[in-house]
Amino acid sequence: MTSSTLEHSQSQFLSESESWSTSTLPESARLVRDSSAHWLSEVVAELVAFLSLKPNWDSYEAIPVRIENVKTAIELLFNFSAASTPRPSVVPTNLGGVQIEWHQKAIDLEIEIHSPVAIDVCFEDLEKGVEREYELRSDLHILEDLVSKLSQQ
Amino acid sequence: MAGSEYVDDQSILDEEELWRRVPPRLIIFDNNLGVYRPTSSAFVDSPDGSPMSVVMASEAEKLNRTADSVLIGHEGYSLVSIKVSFVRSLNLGVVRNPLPNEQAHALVFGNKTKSVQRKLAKSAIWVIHYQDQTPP
Amino acid sequence: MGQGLPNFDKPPLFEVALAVQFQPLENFKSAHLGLLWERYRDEFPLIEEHCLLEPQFERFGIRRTSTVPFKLEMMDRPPTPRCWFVKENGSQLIQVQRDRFIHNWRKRGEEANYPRYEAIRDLFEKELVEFASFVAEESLGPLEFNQCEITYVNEIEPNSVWCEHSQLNRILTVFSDDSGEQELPKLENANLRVRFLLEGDDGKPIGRLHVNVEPRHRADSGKPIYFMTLTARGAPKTSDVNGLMHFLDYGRQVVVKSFASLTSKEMHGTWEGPHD
Repeated sequence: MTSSTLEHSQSQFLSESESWSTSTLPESARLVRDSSAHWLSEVVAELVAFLSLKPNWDSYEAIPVRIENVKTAIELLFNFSAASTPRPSVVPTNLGGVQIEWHQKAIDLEIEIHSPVAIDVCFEDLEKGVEREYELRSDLHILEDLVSKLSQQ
Repeated sequence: MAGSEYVDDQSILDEEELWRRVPPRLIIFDNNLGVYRPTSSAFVDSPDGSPMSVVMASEAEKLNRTADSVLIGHEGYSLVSIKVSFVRSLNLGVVRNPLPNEQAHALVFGNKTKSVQRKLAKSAIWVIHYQDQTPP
Repeated sequence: MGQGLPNFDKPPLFEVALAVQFQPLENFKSAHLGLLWERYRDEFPLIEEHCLLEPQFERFGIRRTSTVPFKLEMMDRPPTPRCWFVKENGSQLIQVQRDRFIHNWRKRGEEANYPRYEAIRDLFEKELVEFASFVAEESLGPLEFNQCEITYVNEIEPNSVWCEHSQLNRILTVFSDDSGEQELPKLENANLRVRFLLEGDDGKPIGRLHVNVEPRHRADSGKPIYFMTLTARGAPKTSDVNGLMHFLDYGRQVVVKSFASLTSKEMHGTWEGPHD
């Protein structure tokens, strides 16, 4: 058996693996279409449009929005929004980030994505007078709980 | 924290109004308040670390300028105003910072946490509200 | 470094990769790849271009897997490719793209010996420090590591323990085809994808171990073979080289112990181990 034949099968194998660093292909991109929030596609389009913002888009030296932050925002929306989740506003930030925010049902919830591993969250329950801030890295458990408060009737 | 080298200029009165431009992308609808307002992200320090830019309304008026002049060259932008007294209540300070192209320029320095940014956003009053949106 | 870890004289290793992902270097252009190659060219004289790897992040508290569910690309300029700098004999290579730096060892030929983790780790660290100095000298931006991973690819050959894909239960300790009183049809093969959580001292998740087991046939002889890939990935505690190497050392321990734990004693015998 030659090394090259083995490589061929190895290549096929790795194309479906979780690894991104082996010397063969990464995992194929897959499309997720099962999120049922009706506003998702519109909000995704808004987020993608942020990528066309030029330097100084806010007239105060803002830098262009970074693609990985748009991607993270889309991933979070796919993951945390349900059919009953109200539509959020999305805005760019001057450091190349993206902010997702809801101001409804007496709740203010702002999720600011500085980078895929640096996400600031600000939550305020206006009726109870409770305000909390979180600095998240990879553990996003709190987000599901906070977004679900908006989805409750 | 942007602005630790600055000292709050007490010659700037509490009643002074500070103007800041808001691009259309940074206007959101607040269902809790039932109004359009700037997002908290509109009240931040500059990417280079220098404090948040504003224009002092009284200084602009002294130069016989109206609010519109702050938006020249920024089509579609809106202008909001914040009171210096409110800025100071958030432990922020104000300092004059005239620029060649903006003599009325000033800086709002101090730690702008998300909470502080949101308070600034909610307290901002429209001076010029460019409207091309329909309430949701 | 390797003390206390199960060690095999003849491990079925086919490939090992040490990798780090960082915030994309905005100023990194294709020309920089050529300049960078000059620094490695004496040892890695061959060059290949490949498509970009998508960013990957281990996140916790989300319902779906870490797999990127879509592809988003900027089309306003051609992407800077991923380059491989390859040793003459093909056994080792460096992969670079604007948000990745990877060192691979690959088994080349039946007689090739695995140089062991410590040797690959030292090479990776040395090459990464060189890369960091290049990034600084060329003012390409801050090098902020956000994820790192270590991957072991094993090629499990048929032997006296197993001879067909249906006998996966002889290879793995965690797989059984025993249906108890119920009757299952005859197993043909199995393709497993298992994720384990890696937790820090405080019990909070810091990464994941991904284990994939996939049946294949050799293209030339048609002989069955199982590929078993173990990848430990997570965020380094600090975003510098020390934090990164610390995670890789930890990830290596997880991978090696998990491999020994997931595979049967009978298979261990054929790999001549484990010795502590």
